[in-house]
Amino acid sequence: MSQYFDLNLLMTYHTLFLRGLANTVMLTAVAMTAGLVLGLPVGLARLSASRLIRYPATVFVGLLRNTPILVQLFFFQAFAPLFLGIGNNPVFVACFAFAIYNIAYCSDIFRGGIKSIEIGQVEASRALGMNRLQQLRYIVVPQAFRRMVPAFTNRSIEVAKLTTVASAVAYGDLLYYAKLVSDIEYRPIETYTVVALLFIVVLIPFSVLAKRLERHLAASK
Amino acid sequence: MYEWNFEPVLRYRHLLWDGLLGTLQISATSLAIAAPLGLLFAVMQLSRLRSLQFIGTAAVYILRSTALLVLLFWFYFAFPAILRTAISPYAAAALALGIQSSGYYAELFRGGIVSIAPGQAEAGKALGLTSGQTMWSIILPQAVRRMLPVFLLTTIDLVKATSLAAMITFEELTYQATHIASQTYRPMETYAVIAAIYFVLFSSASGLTAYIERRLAVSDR
Repeated sequence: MSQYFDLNLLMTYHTLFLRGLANTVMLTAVAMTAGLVLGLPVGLARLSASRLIRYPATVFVGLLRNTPILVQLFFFQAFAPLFLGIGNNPVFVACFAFAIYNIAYCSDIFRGGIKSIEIGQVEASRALGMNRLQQLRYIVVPQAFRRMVPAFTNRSIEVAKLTTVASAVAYGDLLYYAKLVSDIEYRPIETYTVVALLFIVVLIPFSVLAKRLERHLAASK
Repeated sequence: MYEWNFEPVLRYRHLLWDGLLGTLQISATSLAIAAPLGLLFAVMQLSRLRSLQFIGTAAVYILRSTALLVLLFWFYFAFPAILRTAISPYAAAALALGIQSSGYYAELFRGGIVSIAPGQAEAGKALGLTSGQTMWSIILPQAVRRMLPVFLLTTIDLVKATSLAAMITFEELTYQATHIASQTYRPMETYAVIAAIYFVLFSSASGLTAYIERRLAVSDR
């Protein structure tokens, strides 16, 4: 049996697995930070009354949401050296591609959340003499954000799972190192099973949390 | 300044066509696994038997926490090693995509069934129908209409996810793109063309979904 499922192998390579896990967490954090920080302005731009602001944002989100992330990664892998003068740099390609991809998805969460705030709230704040920015800052965004928390938790889970795709452009995430070890030792069963289980163990608490938050929110409406 | 040249890529358009057919083929097969399996998990979650409820709920949480690419690698590299027999990229991709997506289908089916008022189930019982008959002839027909838009969106996500099957050498659109890119030395043009094909496919499909959603909303009133 030890020949069939040899866990010592994983102990031998545990530094590689830990490095891969750290890189997976790092890429997820970069994508989520970009999404949370820059998704809001893009979401607001899509709600803008001015076409000059609304159209470019709509095109940006449409392009990124209607193409697979793998194709985007391959495109940026070719794009970075030619247009940005950045040589073969998987970290840059992965972070850049995942950041803008996630900004597009998060902007839709922001847009949906803001649209869900009743018009009466905006009218009331206008009646109080607030300008557009103050309405957003004090009235709309704080209320909308509460409603968006489950969606953002789900988004984090989706992004964490998707970062494995960055291994296709040689970004050193968990799956990249698993494949490396599997190819060196020819041990596909141990390596891929452990990676699959790691994802499940780490993400299940977040899945349960997201579900609870969704139910809680649905109940409080 | 970079000179765009699409001519070499278009010379390979027969491969693009093959790839598109491969994408549709793997999408259809995965859907044929994912939708029935998802329905099974949904019905289990709504069962009165605690043990079935637990299995259905656990399955959905585990699937939500599983990274698709890891599962693809598992089915392509680890599964044949366990079975001690080779498995085609097509079979591995269909199993991984079908099983992983079934979690999303389970969620949408469950949501659709729950959204039908409990009065409907009671009416079925009052008519002397068994719970199976009530589900089949009273609840599901009503739920299907309500689920249709979400079903279409989930299926769009499934088709988008089939691009990852390229990583286990299944010959769909993205795989053919990597082939064309290495043949023509025109990766940017190749991935731009591929992205355009996906974009047309997904944006028209989601446009259609939005249209259907509006139509259903009107007729619900």
